[in-house]
Amino acid sequence: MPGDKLHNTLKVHRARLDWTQEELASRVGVTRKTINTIENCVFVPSTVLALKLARVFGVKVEDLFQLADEDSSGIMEKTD
Amino acid sequence: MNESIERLDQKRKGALKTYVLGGLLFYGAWIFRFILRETGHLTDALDYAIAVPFAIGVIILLYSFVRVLQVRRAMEKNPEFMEALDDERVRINILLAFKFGFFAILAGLIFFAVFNFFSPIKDVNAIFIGLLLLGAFAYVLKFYILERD
Repeated sequence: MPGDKLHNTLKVHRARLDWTQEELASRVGVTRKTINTIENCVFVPSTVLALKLARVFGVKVEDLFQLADEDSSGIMEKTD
Repeated sequence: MNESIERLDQKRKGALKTYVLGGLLFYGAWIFRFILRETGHLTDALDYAIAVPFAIGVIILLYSFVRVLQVRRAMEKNPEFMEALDDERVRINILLAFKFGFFAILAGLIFFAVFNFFSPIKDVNAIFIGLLLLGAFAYVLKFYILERD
């Protein structure tokens, strides 16, 4: 389906808090490789994992993950 | 704790890689011997020669199986290890590996059917064993490919 790719800002938030991938992984209960594959847009996390990630970063899920067809501000344009 | 999980993950990947190498030797020798035997080209000398990679493959497979069991035991002892090393990505990879193993068995069935068409297979039990081995090997191979760094 077009527009199904998921962009994320995990690396940005990780850098903000100076966490390694391993540190982030241990905080949400996954392996470093899982964090790596999420950051590189290889693996799409479940809702639960996405919420856990947002919680540890102290941000909203929408700030962390965006659909590829969203604009750069991360807000979908209303079409109606 | 992070390092322990990472170390265990690397150990698991190492065991999978060893299993794949052992499986290639073991299954490669098995299928080669099967083809030679069924087509009437298996001599005693060839049989002994094939036994070498076959035996090495078995030893490597047994060794990697023990390593996988060790990792599994370590995971079961510590809930944090289990949660991390059996996370959603790993569970999805397991399902993908099962799917690959299933299609590998189908491909194996086609192979044996075509082979039987050109050279009727005398040892029918070999088909069942061959398909089982192929399915198991394909599953581990796919899982290893998905999990490797």
